Formats: sequence, structure tokens, C-alpha cells
Amino acid sequence: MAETVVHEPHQHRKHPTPRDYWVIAFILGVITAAEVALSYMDFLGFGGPVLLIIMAIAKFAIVALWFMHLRFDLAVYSRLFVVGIIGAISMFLVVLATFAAL
Amino acid sequence: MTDLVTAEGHGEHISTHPDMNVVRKTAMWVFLGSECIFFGSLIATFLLYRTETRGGPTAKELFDIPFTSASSFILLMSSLTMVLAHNARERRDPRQLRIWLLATALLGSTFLAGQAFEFTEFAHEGLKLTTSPFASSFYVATGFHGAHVAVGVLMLLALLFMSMSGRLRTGEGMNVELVGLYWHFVDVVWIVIFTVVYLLQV
Amino acid sequence: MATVAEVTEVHAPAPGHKGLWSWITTVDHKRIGILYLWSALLFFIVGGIEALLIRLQLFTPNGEILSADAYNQLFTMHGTTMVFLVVMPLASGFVNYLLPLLLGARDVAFPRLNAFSYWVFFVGGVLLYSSFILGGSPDGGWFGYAPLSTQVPEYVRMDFWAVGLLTLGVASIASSANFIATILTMRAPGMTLMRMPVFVWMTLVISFLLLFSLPTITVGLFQVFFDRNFGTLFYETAAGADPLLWQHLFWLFGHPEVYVLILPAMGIVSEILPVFSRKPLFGYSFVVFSGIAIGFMGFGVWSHHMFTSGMGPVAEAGFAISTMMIAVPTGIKIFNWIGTTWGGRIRLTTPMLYALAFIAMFVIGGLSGVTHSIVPADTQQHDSYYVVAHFHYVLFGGAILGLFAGIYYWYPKMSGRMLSERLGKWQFWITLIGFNLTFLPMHMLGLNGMPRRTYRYDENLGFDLWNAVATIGGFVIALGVLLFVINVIWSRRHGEIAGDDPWDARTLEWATSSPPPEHNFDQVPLVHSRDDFWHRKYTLDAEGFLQQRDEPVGDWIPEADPEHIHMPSPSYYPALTALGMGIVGYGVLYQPAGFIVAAIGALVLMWGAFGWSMEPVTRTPEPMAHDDRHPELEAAAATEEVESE
Repeated sequence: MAETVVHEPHQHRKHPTPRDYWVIAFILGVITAAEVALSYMDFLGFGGPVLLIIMAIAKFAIVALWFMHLRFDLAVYSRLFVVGIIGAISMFLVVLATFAAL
Repeated sequence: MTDLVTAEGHGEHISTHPDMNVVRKTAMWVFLGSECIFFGSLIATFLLYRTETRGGPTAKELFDIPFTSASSFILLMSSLTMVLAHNARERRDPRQLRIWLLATALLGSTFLAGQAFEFTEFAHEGLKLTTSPFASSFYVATGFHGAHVAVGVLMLLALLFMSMSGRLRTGEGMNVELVGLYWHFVDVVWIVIFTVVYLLQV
Repeated sequence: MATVAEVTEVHAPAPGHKGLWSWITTVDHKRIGILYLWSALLFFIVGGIEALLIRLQLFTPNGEILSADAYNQLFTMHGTTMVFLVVMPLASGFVNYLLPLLLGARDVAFPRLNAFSYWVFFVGGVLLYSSFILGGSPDGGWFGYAPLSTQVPEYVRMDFWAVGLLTLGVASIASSANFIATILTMRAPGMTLMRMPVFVWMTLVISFLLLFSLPTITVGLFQVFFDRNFGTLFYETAAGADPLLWQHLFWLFGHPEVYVLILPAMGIVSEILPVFSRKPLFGYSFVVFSGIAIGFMGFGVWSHHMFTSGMGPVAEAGFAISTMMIAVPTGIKIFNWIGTTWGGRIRLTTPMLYALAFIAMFVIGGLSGVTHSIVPADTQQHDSYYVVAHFHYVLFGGAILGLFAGIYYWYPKMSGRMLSERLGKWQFWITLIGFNLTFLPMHMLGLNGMPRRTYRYDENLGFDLWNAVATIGGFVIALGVLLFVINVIWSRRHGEIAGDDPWDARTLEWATSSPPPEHNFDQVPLVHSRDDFWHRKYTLDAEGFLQQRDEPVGDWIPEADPEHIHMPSPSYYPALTALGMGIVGYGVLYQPAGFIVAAIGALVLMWGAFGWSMEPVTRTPEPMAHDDRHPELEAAAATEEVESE
């Protein structure tokens, strides 16, 4: 294990405390509430769905970075996961595009 | 011949035993990457068929956003309790660990109960599995997510049992961190489903 | 250990390594590899017999040997078998056996998960083949196009196919995650990524390909199964569903799968050519990066299987271009292999002959593949024997010849004895001639318009001659395979004793005994360069000529306690968990009554999984330090961990 990809320098970030986790959960709850409110605001037109998608991405990122502690862990984990996410999104966008179903 | 100091400039001790925690987390993360494609396929199928209702109920008529947001919130909070369980494990606090594991399992079960209630409700309103491609793809996508939650609950209960019987070890077998990663993943998948399958369709 | 001393006897198997139970409970990657190889060989013979029956039926116009129904079953099972039960497990067998040896490791990352993968594969194979006696085998093609595969619910045939492939998928996902973790984290000290043998690189690429492609077919198979059994409407056109979705989900898996089948062979050939040319691999990094590029691009070409489905000009143009582009990294590899042999001191041993034939045959198959990227031409070739000719050149001329090369090359390492070179060369020439006799005429048949998957053809269509030639060729291949089987069995007892390093090879597996001990290496090697083992044997003299060292040198990491190297203990839980999966599989095939069986299977599965996670990897007498009942010990360990970070 002298030199392996997993031995990249650790990022010396302070690990969150239980208090931090409660704060993060509170933020997640607030975003969810905002999402629900937003889904009733039909007057936003095209902006509504865009905002909803942005909020979902934010929640996704918060859970992955803090709760799944990707932010504090080896970079190789993030890469493996991101490959999956990007792969899924790009492949299925193409599939749906060929059906003209987007 | 076995002069370790020559080893690639590293003077320090060379271990031939990899850190099993790193090994196992690597495997877990590639598995989760793979699961992204799995749920991607299910959600893409749903998006393709979202308007194929064949005269049956549509998403707009059916979805009860306040109810679903409540169960989404419960699942989101189960991620909090899961991370607190993991934190307790890191602090070697078995009592707290057991409390939070149990809380997570309970929240997960509540979410499942909510899903069961929602499915029955929809069925009463005329959305059966066989009603339309929309219905099939909705039930199968959310159902597979529910199955993942159920597997997660089983693993949490197993962890709880292992902790109670003093068989929870670090470095091998199931552990809190790996189950936690799986649990949070199931949660982020729901974040996507909640937005794409529910909120964007009403 | 590294000395090339005369070995006069093959190691006796270690105590406790005899009997059926020891094979069922084994977690040794080498024994699991051997299980994979033997199972694949068995399925290869079965799949070959299916092919011979198909060829007999087509020997003459209006063949009478098979009914249309039997023919459909046979070509479906031939394809399914060769892809999922032959080439993939053959590759898996090599990876299992060799990966830790090539990396200088003692085992894969998760030995029990590895055993689980094999047993799930085994259960999946049994499931698929038991269909023959349970109402007929799958008959909708290995690609199971919906809505053909979702119809005829009175047969369970395509249910067997769906459940069988789902089961095999679980095995592949588990082993892929296992191999990736092994490669990324278990390499011997000094074995950097760019020092890894190419075979290991290709294993890494195929593992990623499988992990990211299998989920799509998994979802598709569930949809087909639900359509057939629970009345869902995923592929019911009358209800507004679009069966093209299946084609997308299938080929999103199916095309990366094609590279899963060929990349192991490419890895094997990249190991063999340098050894028998006595030169390092030409352009190592090009070979590696083109392999990675093939992996990435493999996900961007799937729709070239659907050019005739009417996707529209934009999609067709896009996929035509990506298909042409993927030929570039493939071409790079071919030039590098030729460059490796160029100017080398070539030894034409059987493995080398197979490796060279691999290059030649694969080039033919690759070129006919590029012709499919031209959309108008593809429209003509689609569903004709031209396509059959193309993919057999890639999969037989490519994958199978490459895997034969691997068997001849590594058999001495696995058994301690050489395969007969004499029989091997006979087999090589017979197989190569038979192969070309069978599949070259199919190009002509296809271009003359003979469609695939039809069980008979009329006379006077101009198909008679080439069909007769192809059938004769098929039997010539069968003769070659027969010689191979004889060789493998005969050499097991009577082959020449191989010794540690019979080929004067370059990679670490040859640094240990043949067959290797259970723990692979008495001491773990410390790696200083690519082809480390070669550099332990050879050096360059002042004029730059290769000079054999008087005595092999090399770093080994001394074992603190060489008498007690902890290897994982045998376990029956992986096999039990796989058995549970099999029971679930049979249960869901015969609902509603089967649901009870499936529930029992699920309990067995959970019993296995739970027992597995409760059981320590190595049964050691020492008390476990990390235990909830000893919080003070745990706290001490925790502070240590924090400090070491």
C-alpha cells in the first residue's frame, strides 16, 4: 500500500460534529419545504421546474458531501460515484432525446 | 536484498496489509455508482411514459404532494439519525449508537408504511399496476426504491443485533459506515424521485 | 523462491483441499478461478453442440433435422450460453486466478464475495439450462426483443431467460466491485497503476463496463418479467408503450458487453506477445489508454444496433460517427501488438500462435464491424448472415482464440504441467482452418441476402454451397475442440513438469511456484518497475544488450511470522446465499404457488447473508480487540486512528 490511488493526501478538513449534522438536517428540511411551496406556484412558468431541479441538486449534494462525508474522504470515492451519476444522466438524456420525450 | 529503505524513497514501514476499511468503502462506492444507472433506467422509463395514462388517472389528479413531502421529510431525517449513529460509532459510544440505529430503522419503516398507504390510496382511485404504462412505470420505479429501503431496514436491524450481542467489529463484515453509505444513497435517490417523479409532474 | 531450479514434482494439494465440500466452501481465488474455467469449458461444449445442431439443420436447403421451435430454442441458447456462460466466466476464471498473483497480493479484496459470485453464476447457469426439461428453453433470441419476449405467456421459456440473466447479473456485479476494490487497493508495494500488467488494466476496464451497463439490462429484464407475469404495460404497444425502450435498455448493456467479451482477450494477448517476442510491450501506455478509451466510448455507440428502427437522421449520424471513432483506439492496440513482435526473437509456441491468430482474425472482424457504422450499408446488412459472420470473427476469432492463448499460456502455472505442444499445434491449425471455413462463407451468404434466425432456406436461392461449407467448417472446429479437451485431460497427469517459470516470462505470477501455494507468495514482492519479474532475471550490459543475471535479484518484504500467514477460512455461507437466490428464482417462475417457494428461498438467502456477516473472515484464536463490550479498548484504537491521520 505504499503508493496507491487511495493514498492521496487527506484533506485536512474539520469533521462535522453532531451539532453540525442537526444544522445540515435543518437546512435540508427548509429546502424541502421551499420545494413543496414552489410546486404550487404555477405562475413561475418555466422557472418553477428549473428552481426545483436546482434545489434537488443542492439537497443531493449536501447529503453526499456531509452525510456521506465525501467532502472529508478520499477523492477516489467521489470520482467513482460521480462517474455513475454523470453516466446515468448523459445516457438517459440521449435515450429520451431519441424518443423526442424530453 | 530486502532493504526496505530503497523502497521508492519511502523510508517508513511498508505494510502488506491494506486498510480493509478503505478496501470496503471503495467497493461500496463503485456499487453505489452502479446503482445510479439502475435508478436512472427506472426514472428514464417513468419519464418516457409519464403521459401514457390510457384514460386512467394522471399524475396531476393523483399525487398528494403534502403527504409525499411529509414522507420525504421522514426519510431525509432518517439520514440525520444514520449519520448520528455513525458519529456515535466513531466516538465508541455503543448506547448512542443503538439509539440512533433504532431511530433510523423506525423512520425507514415509517417511510415504507407511508408508501404502502400511498399505493393503496392510488389503487382505490383507479391506478392499478396494469392500468397504463404510466402506472406500471410509477409503481415499479418507486417500488424498487421501497425495496431498497426495506433491505436497508433489515441491515440496520442486523447491525443493532450485532451491536447488542457484541459482535460488531471494525474492519470486517457489515459495519455502520457501509450501511450508512447505502442508507444515505437510498435517501438521495428519493430526493431525485421526489422532484422528478412527483413535483415536476403536478 | 525466485530461482529457476529444476522442479521434478508437482506440489501435492494442501491438506484439506480434497473432496467436494472443500470446493463448495473454498474462498481461495485460485480454486474459484479453476471452478469458473471448468464450468465455462463445460458450457462451451454444450453451446458448441447447439451450434452443430444449427449447422446440421442448415447443411442442406429445407433441412429436416430440427423443427422451427427447436431451432429457435437452440439459437437462443447458443447465443446466451456463449456470451454469459462461456466467454464471461472464462475471463472471470482467468481474472480470479491471476489478478492477485499479477498484483503481488495474497487474495482478492473479498474472498467470500468472490465465492458468492461463482455460486450465483453456477445457479444462474443451472436455472437457464433446467428450462430444457421444464417446458422448453428460451426461444426469443439472446437479445430478447420486446414485444416478442413479452408475448406467449403460456410458456415460461422467456421467464427462464429473464430470471437466469438477472441471476447471472448479480454474479457479475459482485465480482466487478470485488475486482475494482482489489485493483485499486490491494496492489503490492511499489506496484503503481502504470506498472500494472495490461491484463489487470483490462480487468479494471471491464469491471467498470459491467458495473455501469448491467443495471440497464437488469431494469429491462424486470420490466419484461413483470409484463409477462404481473400484467404491467412496459412493452404493450396497444397501451401506448414503446418497445424501442427495450432495445435501448438492452443495447446500453449489450454494446459495452461486447467490449467486456473482447477486452480480457486483448489483455491476455498483451501479456503473451512480449513474452514470446522477448521484448517489452510496445507503447504500454497507448495500449492502456486505448483500452480505457474503448471503455468510455463503448457507452456511446449502442444505437448502431438500432439503425433500422427509425431513430431519425440526427441520432443515426451521431451514432455512426461514434461507431467509426471507436475503431481508432482498437486500431492503436493492433499496431502496438504488431510493434511488439517487430524485431523480436519470436518463439512460435502454441500460446503465441493463438495470440498472433487473434490479431489477424480480430482485424477481419473489426473491419467488417466498421462497415456497420455506414448507415445505408448497415440497413442492407442488418439481420443478415453478414452480421453473424462479423460478430463470430470478433467473438470466436477474437475472444475465444485469445482465451485459448491464455489457457495454453497459464495452464502450466495452474496445474504445474505443460499442455502438449504437439497436440496444441494440431489443435491450433485445425481450429483456425475450421473457424475460417465456417464463418468466412457467412459474409457471402449475408451479402447475398440470407437472413439470420430462419430455420430453413429454399433451394435455388444460391445459399446451398456456402451453407454446406460452413457446416463442414463447424465440424472441423468441433474436432479442434475435441483435441483441446483431450490435451487438457491428458496433460493433467502426463504433461511435462513445468517448473516455476517455463516461458521465461515477465510478470509476477511466474515468481512463485506452479501451482502457487494457497497464500500465493511466501513473501510479498516489492515492485520496482513494470515487468518486475523480468528485471529480476535480466539486466542490460554496458552496450545495452540483454544480459541474464547470474542469480535473480529482487526485493521481498519479509513476513513477520512466515509460519502463520492468515488466509481467509473456508465458508459455506456464500454458497448458501447463492442457493437461496436460486430457490427464489425458481419460486418466482411458478407463481402464485411458487411465491411460497420464493419466500423460503428469501429466508435461506437472509440466513446465508446474516451468517456471512457474523462470521469472522479468518477464524483466529485471539480475542477480538474491537468489540462494543470493551469501549475502553475501542477508545484507545480511536485515538490511534486520529493520530495516524
